[in-house]
Amino acid sequence: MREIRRPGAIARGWTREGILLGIVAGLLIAIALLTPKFLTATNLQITSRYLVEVGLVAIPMTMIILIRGIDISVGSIVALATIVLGFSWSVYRIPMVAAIALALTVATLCGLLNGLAITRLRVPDLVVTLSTLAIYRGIAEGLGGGGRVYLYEDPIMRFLGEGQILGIPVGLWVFLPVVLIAGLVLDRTAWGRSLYAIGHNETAARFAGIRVDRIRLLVYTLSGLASGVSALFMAGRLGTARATAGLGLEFEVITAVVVGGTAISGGEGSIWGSFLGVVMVTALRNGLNLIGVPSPIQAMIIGALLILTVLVNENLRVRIRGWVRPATPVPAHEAEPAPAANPSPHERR
Amino acid sequence: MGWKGREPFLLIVNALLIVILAATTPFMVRPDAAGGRVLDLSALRLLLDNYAATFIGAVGMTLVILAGQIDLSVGSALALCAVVAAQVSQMGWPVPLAFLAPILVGTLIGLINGAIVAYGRIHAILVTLGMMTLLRGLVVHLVPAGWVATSDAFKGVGLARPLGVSTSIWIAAAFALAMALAARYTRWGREVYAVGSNPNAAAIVGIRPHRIWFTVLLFNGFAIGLASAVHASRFGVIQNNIGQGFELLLITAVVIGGTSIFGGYGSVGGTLLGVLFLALVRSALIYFRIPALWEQAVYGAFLLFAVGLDIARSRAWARAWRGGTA
Repeated sequence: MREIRRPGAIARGWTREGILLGIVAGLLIAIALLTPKFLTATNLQITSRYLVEVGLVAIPMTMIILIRGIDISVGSIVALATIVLGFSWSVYRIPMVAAIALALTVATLCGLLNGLAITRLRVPDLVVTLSTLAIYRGIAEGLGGGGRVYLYEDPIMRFLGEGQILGIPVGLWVFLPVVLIAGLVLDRTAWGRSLYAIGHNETAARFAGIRVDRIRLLVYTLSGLASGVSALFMAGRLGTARATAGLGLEFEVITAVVVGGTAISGGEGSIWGSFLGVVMVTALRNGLNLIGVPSPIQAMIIGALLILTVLVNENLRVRIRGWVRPATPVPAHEAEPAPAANPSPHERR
Repeated sequence: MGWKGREPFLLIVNALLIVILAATTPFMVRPDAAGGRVLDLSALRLLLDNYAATFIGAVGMTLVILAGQIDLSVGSALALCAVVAAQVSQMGWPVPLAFLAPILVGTLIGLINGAIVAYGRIHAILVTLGMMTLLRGLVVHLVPAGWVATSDAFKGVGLARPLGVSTSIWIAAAFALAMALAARYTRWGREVYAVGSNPNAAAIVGIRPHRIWFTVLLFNGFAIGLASAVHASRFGVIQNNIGQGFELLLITAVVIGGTSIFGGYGSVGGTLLGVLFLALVRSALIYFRIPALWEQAVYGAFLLFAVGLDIARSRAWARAWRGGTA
């Protein structure tokens, strides 16, 4: 039997986040021991900027995967937002603030379109976002015409890319509060709990009066907005706007979320876990970089990490239940009568 | 099923596209000595030639989607197999062996994908997404110069034209025919459809869904290996970014060809027409001077449109069914 906790109650014993925290701490210590360059102020500054870009997108992605969806178009939304930002600023000479607003609007609209296609046309999430992955990147490439725009002369972009407040990069000032708020919303509000309900059993959630489609639409729209914000920081850091921005971002984000313990079959996971997953993936990448592992090998290692974690997560979930409590407090109405009523992910889909 | 599906519609659309292209662009038309215009089918043959690898890959993807799975790693797998083909041919392997090597590598990739999806019980999206990045990393690592070339003898196979049609087309045609027959007439083929329509029902009647998922992904790996051998022998030069967006092209072709993205409905023949349609659209884009940069956007829009059509169709059927019995 799964123990049913009050939402937000502090778990006793081992939770998945607890284990993950241990793994992340071990990884950070290992990297620090392997290379002295890791714990330098410069390196942490650079890494945390990259962490913010992945992490901002990982938050709505966690919500999407919690309700058993997927969004693989985020990298392309980043590209489109970047191109809109750069070209509206340099070609049409609109002020940077307006260009930023325009880029964020376009990104949010992209997310909204994904959500509309999924909720209204009832096209599966993967297919919609696979199409828009191509459509948004295609539009970005078409608009960009293969060119690039240099942004580093603009003070706002420089501030986003290099600025810091009290020695901490600007991005972290945005990202950490967002993590805190999103984490609390998921743990403690009715809206947050309804995401878990949808992920566990969508039909039951509908009957319980949860407006599933409205929530789904909102979550995909948030994903677009977050990709837009991430694009701003990325454009600032790189100092250029081009259509290749964010290539492969969806992979890093999904890996981080899944490594963070969110079940791809929905209903289980948390923002806290995803945060740790983001730290783990970015630290791993940075560590491999510092040790001198070439970038293609890094991609292979992270690809293998994704497959391995899912294998372990999805297959051990049932077996370890005896000694590891589920990371997600289970809503009372979702409690299963017997452990046997726990079908494999395939049968649940 | 055969002619009840989308095939007749696609045949007409493809024929129309060819006619429009022939009438308005230099495609398939060459000037004769007197300055008039004569029909020249060699352009169409060249088009089929260039898309031979896509035809083969799309047939493999059809079976994967029919069984209710998906494979996003095909682009990276194609690149890896093609690189292997080029490298072993440069190492002086005889041509038949150099043809076999990428097929073996592809089958191995399919084996791994299939084993993890079917017996690790993980959704194919994640497995093949991880595999896509992993294999692309391997390709970039194996090809530090950015490109490799095949040996001339190996390239000669792709350029040869027995009976006036290139070897690529012969291979693609034989493969597609075999698979169309296998899907329609063999026990395995019917089981793929059954599992795709309803895995639980299939399991109840004694089919093992996991075994079917394993075999279709294994088989898709084989198809990608074959496609890459054809591609490598046709083009001779392999860049390390080949195959990017290949998964989108294949899935779009399969869905345009009338195969349901949910599995259980569709045909190999439809997929072939879907590939031809996309190939003709690409030619049209080129002849109407639309920059190639927009190509991705066009394919994505087609995919969304085709899936929308598919869903509208299944809803209409559901309504008709309810109306008929109520």
